[in-house]
Formats: sequence, C-alpha cells, structure tokens
Amino acid sequence: MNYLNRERRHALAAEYVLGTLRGPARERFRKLMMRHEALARTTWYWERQLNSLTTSLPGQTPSEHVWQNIAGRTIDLDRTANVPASKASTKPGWWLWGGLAATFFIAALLLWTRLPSPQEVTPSQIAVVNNEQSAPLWLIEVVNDQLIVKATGNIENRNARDYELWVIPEDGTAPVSLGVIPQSGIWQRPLHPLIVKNAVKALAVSLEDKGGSRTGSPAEVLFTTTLASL
Amino acid sequence: MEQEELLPLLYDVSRGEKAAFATLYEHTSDHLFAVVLKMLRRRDLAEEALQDAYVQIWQHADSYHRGRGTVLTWMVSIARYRALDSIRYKKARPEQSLDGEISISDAPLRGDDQRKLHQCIEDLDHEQRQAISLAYFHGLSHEEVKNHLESPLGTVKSWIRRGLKNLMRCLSL
Repeated sequence: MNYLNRERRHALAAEYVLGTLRGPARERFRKLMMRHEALARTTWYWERQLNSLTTSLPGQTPSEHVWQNIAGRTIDLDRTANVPASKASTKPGWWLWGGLAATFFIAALLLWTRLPSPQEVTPSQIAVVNNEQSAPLWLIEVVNDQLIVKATGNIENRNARDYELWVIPEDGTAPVSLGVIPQSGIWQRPLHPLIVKNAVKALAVSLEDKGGSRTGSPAEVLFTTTLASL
Repeated sequence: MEQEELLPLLYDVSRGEKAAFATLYEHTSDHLFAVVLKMLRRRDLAEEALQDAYVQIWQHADSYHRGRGTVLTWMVSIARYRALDSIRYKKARPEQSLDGEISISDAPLRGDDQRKLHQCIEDLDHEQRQAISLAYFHGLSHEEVKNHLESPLGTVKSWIRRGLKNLMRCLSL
C-alpha cells in the first residue's frame, strides 16, 4: 500500500498537522488514518513535535460566556450513557483475577482501544512483560515487519536509568539488544532478523545506565517474557 | 500547568468529574484560545472553535495516551483541528497584516526534546522556516502563503515539503 511507505506517510501526516493538507485530500487522509495504524502513529509524531511550538504564544483570555456554553454542552448533561464499556472494568478489584487474566485483559484492552481496524493491524505475535506482582509493564507486539512496544502506567519511572529490551536467541548464544525502550508511550522498530526467523527463546528487559548497555550485554536482567503467536 | 499536574486532572475528567474539567479549563483555556485566535483572527470564530474543542476534550478525555504527546499538546491538536475546520467551512477570516509574526524559533525551551526541535528549526532555510511558520501559526493555506510571500505556488509548496522533510531528518538524528 502506497500510503504506508514511510516517506509518503510522513509527508502526508506532517502537512495534515500543519494544516496545509486541505479539502478532499484532508478528508481522505482522515479516513486512511482510521484504516492504517501506522498513519495514525505518524500523525501523533508530528502532533507531538509541532504542537509543542505553541508554548511561545502569550495567553489570551476568552469571554466568560465561553465557559458557560461549554458547561451547558457537557457537565450539565448526563454523561453516564456515553461511558465506554471498558471503563467499568478498570476498577482496582480486577487485579484479583490473577496475573494471567490481568495480562490478557490488558493486552485485549490495549488492542481494542488503540487499533482502529483490527483486521488490518492485528499482531501476529504478542508478549507481555510483567513485574514480580504480575502487573503488566510493557505490551510487545509483532505487527507486519514492525516490533511495537507499548508502556503501561505500571512502570517504575527511572529518570537516571534506562530499560533495555533483549532477544535471547534459541541457539543459546548471547542476548542481542533491541534497544532502549520507553518508560511511557509507544516505541516502534523494524523486526530483528531473529524474530523474523522465529529463532527467539525469550525476550528480556534489563536495567541499564542512561543510554543503554555499554558492554553489549545486559547489566541487570529484571524481567523475561516469551512471544506467543496469535 | 505542567504534564505532571495536567495528567491526573485529565484522568479525573475522563471519569466525568466536573470540578476537574472546570480546573482544566481554567488552566489551559488562555493557551488554547491564543492558538485558535491567531489562526482565525476573529474572537467570535475563535470562541466557537474553543467551545467545540473543550466539548471534544470532555467527551474524549479517555482516549488520551502518551503517544499523543503531553496533555497540553494533545489539547492543542484538538483545538487546532477545530480551527482548521472552521477555516474550511466559514472561510471568513479578516485580512490582516501578518507583520511581527511569531517565528517558530522564539519558542521557549523545555527539556531535551524541545531544544532539539528548536535546533532543527534553526537549521532550516529561512524561506522554509517562514513558510512553515505562516502555515502553522496563522493557519494559512499554500495559496495564502504564496500571496503573503509573493512567491510562486510551486515554490511555496516545495519550501514547506522540503522544510518538513529536513525537520524530520534532523529530529531523527
């Protein structure tokens, strides 16, 4: 698909965010964004970059009646009917289901909420990195030729350190780094050949100095997980 | 208000907490209004876009995640898209001299990401930076940038396209 070519994707997404993509082309882009996750992610990239530029603008105070109108259209209306079903399930009590159920629940929830068109972007393999309490930390997906790592809110934030993801090869050779993974947000890279060849015994996450391992080997392995085919 | 304070507030908004929504509005509306007013140049249109944006923020607070940027940049995205829709459907913006326009490079710097962005924008050719700035802050179309800079349309499109491409390349280094 032409739209998924990286350069074309960035060119379109950047002009969409900038606002110079207009008319029918803008509408077409919106539709494509709903169909293609990669296009949505590229758009978010440009939103993150460009929209942080507005911090330079001096604030302007809107008229009083603006808030009154907003309140009239929102908080004065009964909103409960619009609450998505997923919210009912995010109460603390769900931890009691146990680690396994939690893992699959989070995986399903992330997939359901993040992927607009499941038919097109369903991962072929998936792994969840859990901590000792079985709380999910990262969701790892293989989607087409990409490895996507999504951080959950359970990760202990380490400002001075980094978490690094490793492949443990099936043939018993040394772990291979896939790179430093984020403590929040989403990270995406082309698939490592070992994953493509299905020659992975496990994945591991290590704690490293800022910037990642300096020796080429993991310093302190914290968690391991395995990829499961869907 | 920074991300650490805005995020819990937005979470409360996503749970339908009215007081949190009022606080969120109080702390962010001046900024969002400045963004849409600059684009629409008319208070009535800007206030309408602002209202629509906050209704959308209330309804979709639970769709925010870190991949969308900070809470504030996510809210700016929503407000800018509303303003762009308004430009599209109303097309009634007063002519205005854009002298003294804000250059992108005036943005204050917060953290490594912003410093990098600043540096990459500084590295762009003057024309590329100016064309992107006019489109971004003033909501100008290719055609309007062309008129403002009195340059051929193809040249303006190319400045913007190449400018964005150079920006991406620089940001990925």
